Amino acid sequence: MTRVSWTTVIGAISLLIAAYLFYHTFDPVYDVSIVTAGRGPVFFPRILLALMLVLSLAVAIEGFRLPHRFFSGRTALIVVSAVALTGLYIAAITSAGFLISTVVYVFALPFLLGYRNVPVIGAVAAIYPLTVWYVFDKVFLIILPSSPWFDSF
Amino acid sequence: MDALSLGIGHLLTLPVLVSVFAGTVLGVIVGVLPGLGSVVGITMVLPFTFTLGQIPALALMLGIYCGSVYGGSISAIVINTPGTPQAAATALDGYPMARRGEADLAIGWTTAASVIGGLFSVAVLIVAAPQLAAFSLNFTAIEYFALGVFALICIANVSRGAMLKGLLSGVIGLFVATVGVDHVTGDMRFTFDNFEMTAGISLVPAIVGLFALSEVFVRASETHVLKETSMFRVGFRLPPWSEWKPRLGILFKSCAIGSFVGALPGTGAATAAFISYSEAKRSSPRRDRLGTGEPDGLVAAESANNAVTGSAMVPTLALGIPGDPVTAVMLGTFVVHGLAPGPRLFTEHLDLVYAVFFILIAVNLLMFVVGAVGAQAFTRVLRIPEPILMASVVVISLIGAYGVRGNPIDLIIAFVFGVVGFLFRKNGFPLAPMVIGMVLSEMIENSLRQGLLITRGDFLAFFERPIALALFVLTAAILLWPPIRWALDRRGKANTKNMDWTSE
Repeated sequence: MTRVSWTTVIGAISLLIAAYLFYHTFDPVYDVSIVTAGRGPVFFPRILLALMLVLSLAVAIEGFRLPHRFFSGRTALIVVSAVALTGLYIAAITSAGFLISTVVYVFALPFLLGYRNVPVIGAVAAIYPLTVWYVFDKVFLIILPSSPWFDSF
Repeated sequence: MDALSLGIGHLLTLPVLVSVFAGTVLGVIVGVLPGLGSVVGITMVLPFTFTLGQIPALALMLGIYCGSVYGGSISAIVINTPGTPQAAATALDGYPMARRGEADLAIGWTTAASVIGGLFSVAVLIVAAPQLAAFSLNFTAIEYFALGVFALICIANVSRGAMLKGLLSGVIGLFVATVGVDHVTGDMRFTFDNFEMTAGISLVPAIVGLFALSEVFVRASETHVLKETSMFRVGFRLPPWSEWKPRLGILFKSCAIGSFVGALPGTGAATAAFISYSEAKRSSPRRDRLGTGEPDGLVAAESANNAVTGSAMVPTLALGIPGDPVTAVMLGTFVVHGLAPGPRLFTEHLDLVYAVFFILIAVNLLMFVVGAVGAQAFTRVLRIPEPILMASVVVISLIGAYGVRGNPIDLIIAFVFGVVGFLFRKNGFPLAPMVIGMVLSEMIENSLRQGLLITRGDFLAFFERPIALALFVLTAAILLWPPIRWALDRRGKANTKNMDWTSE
């Protein structure tokens, strides 16, 4: 069986999204601005989505000529883990607060990427997030998400 | 007080001078670190700019921009790994010089050439930007529509062999920016009743994702090992005047090439450096020695890549149309700080424009001092373990994404764009068109709708205006050239095959 390239996969996903959104532009919710002589809120997006449909299809077809080449084995695991860890970190910022989640992330990401000097990672994970949090939250007054368990951070 | 004096006055305040210094030093550090580059550098300092006034914020970003373009040359010389793509040509002669034990001299050449290139381009900016802004006052919505489409197509077309991908990336960028409130009718678009999406998809979180987060994911997918930096004595030694004299022609030719290339949409400093290097290889009396540690190569590459910095600001400041992702990010940050680049900036805030000119001059002069004093210190940052650096980049960039609006959805947007950016980069989809598309979307949409109002719905009337027509013709030529070239190549190959057949 021939495996499709990632270019084709990206083209196909883009095609599906564009098709759905193009269909969505005919939703009655957008009819309220019909008084704008056909140049209402979805006039420009509809042109873009039509272009996106054509280009996505062309890219998907072009991808058939390309070899299937991506990651395998350990590299794929590291990439997926790094993406998942960053996603969890972002989710944790709003639920557990910036400081706690950043300490965990700054410790976990270097470890995941293969850096195993635990004393150095530990020191950085302790000092760096605290410094960043203090500078932005307390000095620059950019209020970062706080933890539900503690009053001050 | 006139605008010129006000401009100098803006520069000579403590917050601006501190920002110029901090921006230049941080920029050089970001440039030295391979892979980070100007966009990630500017994204990283974004959260710091939120608490600064307009001009200190601009000074910080301009310092980062110019400093990072220069800083890339230091790691190119010392470890043969350009810190930024702009410095790739510098490694060709810089590293052989370092191997000969002349790393300090190579840094002297690149520092001086960078400063001269940078100052040359500021002069171009000072002369060209007001002229272009004055000329563009004649533009109507139709010309702006044609100009926006032209700029986007240029950028999408730059990635050779990936034009379809570039165009798709650009159209996605244009579309993404339409999400949220329609500024003409006030209707919600593509928000799917999600209140947090009504404000739309902001440029800054998208850039944080596309450049900073995707960089971390790309690094995770590569075994990227930095070489030790301790093998060469790093310092700063300025070449004597007798060495400069025969190279003045190359220096000014490269400055001119860099300034011209920089003002074109979609090209950038890396292209300028390679064009200039190729020109030196063609015309230099010492061309045979290029690639073996010949200063001509350093002068050509470094003066050209730094000559881009000022001239790339010409369309950005005068028309509000960025030429590359770096100026797009800067444009986005200008807007965050309540500035709208374009011809009106020159009529309503001329003092700010002069302040930008003076800041750029100060940054370039400071770059010389920073390079001379700190070259050795900057190479020490190469010893920071890369995984720790990556974690730091993510944290500080996400504060930048969050800090613009304090809206948690911006963190999710950054993450989604991070994954998209990673997949795009790994599969040859250029990211620059997407960013430029996001920046230009509102202008293109508004000018299209206004243009159709002017022409009473007749799009063909757009072609009756000479400037717009010229831009449309250029756009069509850029779009049609790749298939024509492909057809010509095929025909050429077929003819060769036939000739081979008959000769047999």
